[in-house]
Parts: sequence; C-alpha cells; structure tokens
Amino acid sequence: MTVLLATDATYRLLPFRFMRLDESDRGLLLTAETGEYLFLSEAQLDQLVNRRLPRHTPLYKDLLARHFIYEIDGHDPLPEMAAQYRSRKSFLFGGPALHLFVVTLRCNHTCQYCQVSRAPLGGSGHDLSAEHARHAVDRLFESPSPVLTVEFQGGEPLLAFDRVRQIVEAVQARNSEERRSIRFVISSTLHHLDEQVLDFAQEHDIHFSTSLDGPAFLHDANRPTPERDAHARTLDGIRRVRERLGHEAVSALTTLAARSLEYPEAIIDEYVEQQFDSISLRPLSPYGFAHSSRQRLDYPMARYVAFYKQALAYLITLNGQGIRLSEGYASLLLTHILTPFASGYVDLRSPAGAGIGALVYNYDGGVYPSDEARMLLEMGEAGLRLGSVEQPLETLLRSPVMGLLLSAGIAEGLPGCADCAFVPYCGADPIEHYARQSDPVGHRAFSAFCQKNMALLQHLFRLLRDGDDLTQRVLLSWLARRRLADLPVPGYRG
Amino acid sequence: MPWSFTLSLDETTYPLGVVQRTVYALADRLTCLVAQQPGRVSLEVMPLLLAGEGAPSAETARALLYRNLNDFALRERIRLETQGLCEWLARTALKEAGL
Ligand code: SF4
Repeated sequence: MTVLLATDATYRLLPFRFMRLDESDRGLLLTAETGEYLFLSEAQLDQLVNRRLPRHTPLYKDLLARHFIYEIDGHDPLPEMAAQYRSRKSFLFGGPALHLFVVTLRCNHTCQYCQVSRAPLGGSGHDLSAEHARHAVDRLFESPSPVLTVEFQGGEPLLAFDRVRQIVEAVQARNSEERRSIRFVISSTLHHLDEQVLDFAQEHDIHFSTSLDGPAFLHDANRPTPERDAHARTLDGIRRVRERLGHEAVSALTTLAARSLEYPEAIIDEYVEQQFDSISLRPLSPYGFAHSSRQRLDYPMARYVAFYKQALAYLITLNGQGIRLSEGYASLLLTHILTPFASGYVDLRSPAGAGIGALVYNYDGGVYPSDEARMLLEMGEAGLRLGSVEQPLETLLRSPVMGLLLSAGIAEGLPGCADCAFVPYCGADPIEHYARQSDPVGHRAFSAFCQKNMALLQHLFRLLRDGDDLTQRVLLSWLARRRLADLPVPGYRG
Repeated sequence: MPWSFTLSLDETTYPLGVVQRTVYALADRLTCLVAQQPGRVSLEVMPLLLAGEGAPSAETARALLYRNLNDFALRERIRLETQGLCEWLARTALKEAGL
C-alpha cells in the first residue's frame, strides 16, 4: 500500500494539513483527513514532524487519538479513519436527494437582484407543463435516495398552484409503493396564500420557506411590489401558516443587499420579533443580476464578512440573554467541524453537490444540476443543462456537464484547496466559479466562495479556541439545536 | 513599477511544485515569474498592479514569500511521508458509492 520513510521514532505521521491562524502560541491549526483538529505552536509542529515529540505528554496523546500520528507497533488507525471518512462523505451514497421543481417563473415582485429569474405576473410560456411535471416525478423516483426533499421554486410557485398540487399528489401516489421519506417545501413570498393552499398543505404536510429580509424598510426596498406592502403580506402569510400548520411549518431566509449590511442588529431583531429560531445570513449570489445592476447591488466579500462577524457577536449576546436564535451557515460549518457527520448542505460538499446531490427541473423541461445553473441559463449561458426531463436519470447524470462539474468539483484535488486546512469542512462549487470567473475550477486567490468560507471558518475556529464559556456554549447549542439552558457542558475546546 | 527583486532558490530545498504553490497562494498580492535553471528555481517578483494601495512593500513581500515557501516545503514533506494514505482512505471509504 504505502511506503513510509523510516526513522528512529516510534510514531509515524498520518496525512494532515496546517494553516496559520495568527502568531499566538496556539496559532497553527492542524486538521486531519477525517476532520479532527488541534491548535499547536510552531515549535510543537516542528517537534511533531521531526519525530521529537515526547511520549506520554497530553499533546502526544491528543495527536494519537485524533489521527495525526500512529504508533508503529500500536493500534492500526486506518479502519477507524475510513469509517469516519465514509461518514463525512455519506451524502455520496444515496444519489440526488434534493429535487427542485421550478413550476413557474412568474412573480408579483420586481426584486432588483432577481431580474433574470422571474417573468411578469401575466407572462405566458413560463410555466412547467403537466407533461414535463409527470416526467420529473419519474426522474425523482429514479434516484435511489431513501430520503427525498421536493422543493417548489419560482418565480412564485403559488401562482402555479395547480402544478404543485399535481406533483405532490403524483409523488404521494407513487410513494405508497416506494415508501421513501419525502419532505415537501414551497419557497414562497406567501402573498398568494389562501385557504385552498393551506388546506392542501395541511393535508399533505407541506412546509414553507419564505424570504424575510429584515424590518419593513429593508424588506420593502429589496422586494418592491406595486402596493409596496411586501413585508406586511409576508408577515401575514407567516402568521397564517403558523396558525394552521404549526410554528415550525415556516422558515425564513434573508437576502442581503448592499444596504442591508448596515443593519445587522435590525435584521436580527426582526427575526426575534417574528419568533424564528434560525436566521440565515447569506451574501448575494452573482446569478440573479442583470449586468447593468451588478455595480449597484453587489458588494465586496470583505464587507459581508465584517457584517457577518458583527451579526454573529450580536446573536451570541442575544442567546446569552435566553433568546434562542441560531445562524444557519454557522450551524452548518460547526456540524462539519465538530461532528463526524455530513450536514447534507449541497454548496458545502466535496465532491460538489450539484447534480450528485440535487437536481432542478426547470419550467421549460430542462434539467439542471443546481438552481444557480438554471439561473445562468436566464443570463444567456445554456451550457450547464444536463438534458431534458424526458431522459432517464442515468443519462442525465452521465451528461458531459456532470463530467465537467466532477472534474472541477473535488476540493481535495483543486489548486489551493488541496493544501488548505479547511478542506474537510469546506466544499467545491464549480458553478459559482464558472459564474464569477468563467472557469469551473477558478482561482482561489480571487474566489468570493473561498474568501467567504476562509473568513468564516477562521472566525469560527478562533471563537472555538479563544471564545469565553458563553460563546462556546452558544455555538454548541446551535450545533445540538438545543436551548442554551439545556446544555450541561461548559464548552468544547479543541 | 515601484519595486522588483529576484530570488534564486535551491531546487532541493524548494522544488518547482513548492514554488508554484507559493506563487499561486500569493497571486492576489504578488506577480511572480518562475523560471527553472539547472538545480535552481528563480523567481522574479513584483507587486500585483491590481492590488493598488493594498500591495505589500518589497520587504513584506520577501518575508511573505519565504514563510510560504517554507510552509509549502513542509506540506510537501508531510505529503511524501504519508503518500498513498489519503488515496487509500478515500478508496476504502467510498468503495460502496462506486467512486
Ligand atoms: S475554498 Fe478556500 S477555504 Fe475552502 S477549502 Fe478551498 S482554499 Fe480552503
């Protein structure tokens, strides 16, 4: 199998990466292939690689237990490491689990950052046909995944509610034999919610995901409607869903336009007021813009990172005061850092999640490996289409596009990522790099995806290393999805 | 151009792959021209013009380069000493996924 260099020492190295976080005496972060980590000093790293680590020290034992070294005559760590590795990559074993149905491009909003993936309310030719929907349901069940999420996207999917109804009924009829675990989600502004929709959602256990961009002045500026009442109508929709289907039946996502970055506290306060227990602070992606608006709406990633750190500090303070509100992306990253499990999040996977983990059935019958890939289509880039909804899944997944995505989608083999200590927790996003750099591999030194993940992971690792007990307990509570008061441990320090 | 300098590196200490990875990592700050001579790798270094005000001084650039060269040389050493293990792990763990 392997030729290891012989030395006099009794231990050998296992594969690991390192990164300089700062100049402090635990300023070097070491991460093992299996995702375990340790903070070391420069002198300790030198001792480690030069086989001068004294045995029986706590550091030696930590390195041994966390699979950075193994003893020549000791326990063979490889089977255990393979099991951990398998667990971290478990998303590869089931086939595509997330199936997005773009039932219509029509929408009543005229959001500035979504100019290319919506059509006017009365526009024709922008709805998924009944026949394409039938084919898409066949593709869904060709995926071997025992757990499936069916998500309805738009435009505004409630404007094509008959198609949503057809698909849900077809999936459930078929599932009486298939017996998969299937979750339905409608991504909606909730403006078109009526009793008929609520009855159907209640009958079929459908959840809603909506957009709440903060208080009214921000939300309404981001999401203009002719009546200028987007915020009020979304809040009314949230209230109605909760009354009928329960508090957990609706979640919300935040889109951060350039102006939003000035208001981290106000955005978070709005989520507290609306009694959400999770907020997702996502930067704008480069897909929805018309080229003319990019200058005005886009912002440097460094501005987003400064906003995010301020928001995270405020969230930690609020959680300390007994308010339960976690940040979605931090929770995902913490799952990757602190557990041996995959979060299932499509954008933070290696191999990349596009196609392997998710499929998008577009309103025109085209199948795409991700929502972003189909948005690129609306920007004039048709190259990322896997094929037609009428083709079997196997053919779609063997399309040349999948070959391209896979060749650029394994982070462990990409320039920059291959040497990065964050690669066990990060992912590859060839479609984002294609969109921003016209190259699915992209250059990490100029990559917004890398800049974001590098900055947020560094911040989280510093909080795990230096944070006070409150910070540590809050982060752990997000990971465990438990209330702070229910956590017995004083904190985790790697 | 505000400054430029050339480093001539011993190829046994800093093999071409190590130099290339260093140059890649610093591409948002420095422009480097890599050339190979017998037993040596030479590096002509200038600030990245695009970096503007954010471009480092010559002194900082030199320190950055040596720190990165040493870090990548160490990574290369770790990689050589553990060669094959990453591939073995991935192959063993992912056998069932047909990858
Ligand atoms: S994208 Fe950046 S942060 Fe993520 S693994 Fe690659 S180099 Fe590291």
